[in-house]
Parts: sequence; C-alpha cells; structure tokens
Amino acid sequence: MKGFMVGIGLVLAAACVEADNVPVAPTGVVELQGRTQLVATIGSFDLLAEALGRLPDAGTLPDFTSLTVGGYYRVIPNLKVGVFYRVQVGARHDDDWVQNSSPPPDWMWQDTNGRLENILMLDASPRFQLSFLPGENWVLMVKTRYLYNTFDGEQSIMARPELTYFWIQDRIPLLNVSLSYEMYFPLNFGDTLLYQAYPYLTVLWHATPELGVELGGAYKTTIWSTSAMERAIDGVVYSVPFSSLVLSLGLVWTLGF
Amino acid sequence: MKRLTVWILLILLAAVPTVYAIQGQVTYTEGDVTLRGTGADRDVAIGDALGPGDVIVTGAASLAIIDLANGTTVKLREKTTLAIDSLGAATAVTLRAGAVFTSIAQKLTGSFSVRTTSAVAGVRGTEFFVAYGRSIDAEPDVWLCVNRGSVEVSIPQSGQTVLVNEGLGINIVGGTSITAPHRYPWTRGLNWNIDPVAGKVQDATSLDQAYTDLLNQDYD
Repeated sequence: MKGFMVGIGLVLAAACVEADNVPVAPTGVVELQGRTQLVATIGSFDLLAEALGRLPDAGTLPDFTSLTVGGYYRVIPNLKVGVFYRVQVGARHDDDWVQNSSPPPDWMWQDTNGRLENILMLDASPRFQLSFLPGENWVLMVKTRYLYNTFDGEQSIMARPELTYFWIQDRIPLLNVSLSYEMYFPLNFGDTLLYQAYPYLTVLWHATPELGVELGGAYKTTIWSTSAMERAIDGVVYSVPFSSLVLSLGLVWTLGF
Repeated sequence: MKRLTVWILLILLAAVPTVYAIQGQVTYTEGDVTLRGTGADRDVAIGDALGPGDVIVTGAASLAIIDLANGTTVKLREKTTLAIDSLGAATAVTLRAGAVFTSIAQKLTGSFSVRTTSAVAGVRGTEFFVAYGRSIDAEPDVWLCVNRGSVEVSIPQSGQTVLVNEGLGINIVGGTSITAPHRYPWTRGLNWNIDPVAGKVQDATSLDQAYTDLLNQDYD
C-alpha cells in the first residue's frame, strides 16, 4: 500500500512537469478494438484461441494486434488454471520513450508497429457462485495471471476481480453482464506499484449456443515510468498517467465436444 | 403444485393400415433389466414378449431396446422406468423416470404416445429423445430433441404449440411451458444408434450438460 501511495505521488509530481524529455499524455483518446475468440471444450479442458486488434488511431498509439493460444484446465469446480502463449505487435513499453539520434535531439515514442513480442502466461482463476444475491445467477471470479515478455524480460501480475450476472432464460444463458477491475502489477519494471488499471463493463449476448457477441467499455489508465534512455541521459524520473476510453466489440465462438 | 399429466403424443401422417402383432418384444439388453408385470418382478431376457401393464426398469449402466410392433423402437437408458399402457392402433407408454430414445419406422401403424409426469405435449416425428432433467421448483424438466423428421409439441391446457425440426430440441420447463426450439450443444453427444449389430448402443450423455454451469464460463 505504501508503494502504491508513493507511486501516486510520483504520478502527481509528474503531472506538474512538462518538458520535452518527458512524454506528454494525450487526452481524449478513444481506443477502438475488436477481438474474436474460439473456445473448444473437451472434458475438463478448454482450448482457447483469441485474435485481438486495435483500430489505427492516426499515430497516437501503435497499431496493436495479438494472437493468444492456450487452454484452461478445471482443477475443481471453483478453480481453473491455464497456460497461454501470446504473440503481439505494436505494444508500447516504458523504454520505448527514446531520444532521436539525429540532430536536433528530440524525444519520442519509437515506432513499434512492426515489432514482434512473445508473452508466456500462467493463469489461475478461482470463482464462486453468489446465489444469495438477488437473481441468484451471480459469479465472482478473481482472475490472476503471471505474464513474462520474452522481448524485454518484463514480468507482471494481472489481477482482475470480476462480478458477472447471467441472465438465464429457458435454462440457457441469454446475456452476461460483467463488471471488472483489471490491474497490472509490474514485477521488474516501472516506478509505480500499478502499471495499468481499469474498470470495465462487458455485455455478452449469446446469439446462439455457439456464438456470443460482446460489447465492452473500459476507462484505462496506464502509467508511463522513466525509460532507460531517459534515466541514462538526463537522470529525470517521471511517471505519467495516460488515460483512454476503450470500446470493444468481440465475437466468442464456443464449441463443445 | 398440481402435478400435471404430460402426454407426448406422436401421430404419424403416413399411417399404413397394416396391423402387426399387438405385442411388444425385448430385442436387446445390457446389465440389469427388470420386468414388473402382473406377476412377480423378473429379469428380462432378449425375446421376451411385452404387453400392456408391463413395466420395464433398467438399472445403473444398463439399457434395453424394445420393439413395440407398430414400427416403433424404444431404447431405454440406464435408470429408466417405462410402462407400456397400450399396444396396437393407439400404442402408448409412460416414461416414469430416466430417458428414452424413440425411433419410428416410416410405416408406423396407428398412433404412438409417450406420457411423462409434467406438462402435456404432443409430438410428431420419426426419431427423438425424451428425458427427465432436473427438478426445479418441485417439477421435473422434460427435454425433447429431434434427430430425424420433425416434432410438434403442444400443451393442450394452454394451447401452446411448438414445432421442433430436425436437429433442434425443446425443454418443457418445470412442466409448465415449452421453450423455443434451440440447437443444444449437449445433444450432439447422444447415441442414437438402436441397432446393437451396427455398434455401441449405450448412451451416457449427462443431462447436467443441459444446464448452464455458471462456474465454467470463461471468455478470455
């Protein structure tokens, strides 16, 4: 908790600093993204593949796309564990804030649109049905995920408490509404306890037993911490919060065997 | 709650006037299959004749296939109790517990009905599955899905009628209302085979799959 408060303090301090060598967070950014996911359930295993892409936004952010494959194993009814591999391009990291080598010297985000990164993930997701709540069909899940990026060695922990209500009609789910708060805790990078955090709301409509259509909205805050080049050249330390509204559309395909 | 009587009534349009022997027959068994007739309970053997008043009971991991002589073949899953009410032009059976697969030959004579213990329904089709599901609010669900042909399901008291086409299924929720037909993924696992010579006839599909497991939902 103390570290978090320190992090907040750094963020506030950075908000008062505007220099050419410190990134300035754009405002009013809206990220539009789409994803499609295929889930194949075989006994206690769920095999999963997901493709995600962010629409180009005229240079404010890189054109991020990712492909994730892996699976969950249901250890007990209340716990699933999973292993995933993700390949992604267009991710932005703290150390991507660099100084232009050609004169005059200028600081900028380097272009990561074509940069390939590999992520390994381990997942554990306990979940509990909260039948005592009105409507009965409530599930609380706490998704926890360890991420290791082989590109730069960054490691982080994601934690996401999520409360979902399932609207069931005629014994089959018609609609899910989820309210989540996703947090990324950096383990070996950044100057703050939280690297990224956002509340988000998701509505999933089960159009057919095999196809779900998902709409989501999130208010995402990412904290840019001092890049390695910045620290080496100027010795300036900063933490800049960058917030954006994320709107997403998803298609979830489910197959059972 | 008042216990309603459910009729699943199957009437084939292409009725042929030929009348077969008005007697059923056990054509295949696995495991413990018992006949509760007019006398003492006894084990069932292949070839045993069946008549009105007979009740066939299958034990755990058991099954029976019976021929009702009018072109109807019924496969009883494990832990099923089926009573034969009448045979002949108006063949009728009562499903008291468990689940049955019913296959109707193209040349069915007369009518065929299956009674369950919840809502009242009438069906018309050629190959379908009827099973009791979970009991919610004291009344058991009845599930019905069609593998071949089409089925007309109705509840006479309310007048609700639903046509169920091939590949679709319905649920009689708590015996009170019929859902709209859906393609239920769990029905893909049903073993429709009723010919032991052609292969395995046992079906172990769990009806629990028909109910949403809220703890098994992951979307990322």
